[in-house]
Amino acid sequence: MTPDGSAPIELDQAVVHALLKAFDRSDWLEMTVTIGEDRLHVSRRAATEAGAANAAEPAPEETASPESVHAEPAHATPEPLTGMLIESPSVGLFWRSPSPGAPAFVEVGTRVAAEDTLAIVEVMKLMNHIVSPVAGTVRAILAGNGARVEYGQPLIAIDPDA
Amino acid sequence: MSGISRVLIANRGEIAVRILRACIDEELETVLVVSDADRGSLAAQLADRVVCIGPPSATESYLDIGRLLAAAMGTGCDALHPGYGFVSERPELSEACVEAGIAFVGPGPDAMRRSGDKAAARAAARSLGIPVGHGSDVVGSEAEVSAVADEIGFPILLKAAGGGGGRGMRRVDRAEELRGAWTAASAEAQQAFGDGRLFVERFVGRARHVEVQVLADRHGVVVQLGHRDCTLQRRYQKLVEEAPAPDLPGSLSSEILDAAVRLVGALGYESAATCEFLVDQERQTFGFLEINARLQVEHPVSEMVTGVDIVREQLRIAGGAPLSFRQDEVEVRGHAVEVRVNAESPEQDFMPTPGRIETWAAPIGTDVRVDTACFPGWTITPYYDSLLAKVITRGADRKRALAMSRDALRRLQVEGVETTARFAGDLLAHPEVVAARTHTRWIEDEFLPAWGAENARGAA
Repeated sequence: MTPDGSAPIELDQAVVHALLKAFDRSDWLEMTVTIGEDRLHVSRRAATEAGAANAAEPAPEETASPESVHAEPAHATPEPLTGMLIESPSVGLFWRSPSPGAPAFVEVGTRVAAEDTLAIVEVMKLMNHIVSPVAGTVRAILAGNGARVEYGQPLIAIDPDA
Repeated sequence: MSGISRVLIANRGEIAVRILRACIDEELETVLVVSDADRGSLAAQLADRVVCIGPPSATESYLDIGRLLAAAMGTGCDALHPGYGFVSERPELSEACVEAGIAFVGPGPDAMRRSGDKAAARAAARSLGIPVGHGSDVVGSEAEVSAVADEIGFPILLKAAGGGGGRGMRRVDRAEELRGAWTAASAEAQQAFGDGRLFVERFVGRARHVEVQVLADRHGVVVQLGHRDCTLQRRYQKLVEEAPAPDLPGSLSSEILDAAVRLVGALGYESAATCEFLVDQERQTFGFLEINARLQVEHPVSEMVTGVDIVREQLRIAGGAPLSFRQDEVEVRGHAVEVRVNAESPEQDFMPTPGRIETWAAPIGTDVRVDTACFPGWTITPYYDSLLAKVITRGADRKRALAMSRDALRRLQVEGVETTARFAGDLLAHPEVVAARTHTRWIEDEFLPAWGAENARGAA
């Protein structure tokens, strides 16, 4: 027992689960928690090396069914994800071009200026333009054209200009 | 009969859990929409699937009809339950569901418009010979007020058309006072709202708020599940609800129940509805106030005394099924009391107290029902309302139900946020509450001044 009479914290399954959830919701790159002799280390750097598709699947316990709202793993890039992740502002449909058949707003490698449109997230015919907050280069496109996306889901990775 | 199989729950908090439970009982799949603040909610842990539709701000999540529909269609839902609050009474939502081929668990858009528009609902009631809360439309002159007052009888209340909060409001007891009161109220309203228009209401000194739970299916069957009393309010927010309404003379009781069924029946309505009435205890009369075209917060007290699961019936109705019971099978047994426990500090004028719930233990039993979304570790965020739980008890009679409620409130263990539980317990113990002699302004006018004085010392 601790001096104040409460039970000591242990790195049991529930605590680890809670810590991972907190990390998942944060924008931290790494987290290290030491309790007694136990140490938990989590890093997004390692995860990105496994492929960008993982970043597009924030809830892997939910399997993708035909009407799944999760994006299909698309445009996976083997390179580590650096730079900035542009997240979806809403639930909706992800569109890469202004209209069917039109050229995509951007491709991997496209140079963009701040405020350039990168993609569209459609919510019931309402077209939300996803604009780049910075000037840079498109590093990865993390959702497929027409994919159903959720709020907060990473859509595009940008390498900002130095 | 089409039936439904997958329901989008377009709400949060305890009502999302309540709807989930009904879906599970009806063997329906559940998809829950959440804002970013609710990803870890109790309902999110229980639902079959969760879709995050937007940031914590309700306008960009739970209030955004487009996002709700996008989530429903994207997950293959064939029904949508809106719960209460948020967009539950927006005809646009009901309409959008129709267009998308999704069964809306509630009335169709036209029936919702007919019942939700206060003037239209009052006109419908009047045409059926149902007494309507005595009052007027906007009146343009003192002469017009005088004519209305002659018709409804003094005392009357002058109210500003342009806003509330008591500004531009005057109670008028006699005809001689009318001229002065009219001039003063109109000037005050003009100053406060830039709008000097007034309307007239009959002043009801000791009003009780009585409402009737109605269910209607698609096949023209309309039933009532008895009445509830929601007189204990603070600033028009209900704090305690009970069923049946106490001390209603038999004739008044049956007249009110009959009025509710006839009114809902005339509106071509399906699903759950509540008809609200004001009962004037001194005059022994009642007047229709309005219809709530949705499930209500206080629906559990009616469930406890009738044994009918209102949410399950709603789901069945939305799937095209007839009601699972007949009116003559409805029997009101015993008495039920619901207390809303909020994350607020009664000692500090009911200031909301968001925070992390460290301890949560609720004394649940056969006759003690606690509807909540709380669990230890859950954080009450400042984005939404402060309702923590509804503590519902059922006893053989009203006295027993009240005693059980006080006991349950005492045993409810909450640490981490302040709650209204102790305040509510004191309220239920008051002799006027025990005797059902309160009225809709009693908490502010009589109970709180005394309670506040006593508890300010304790808090210091």
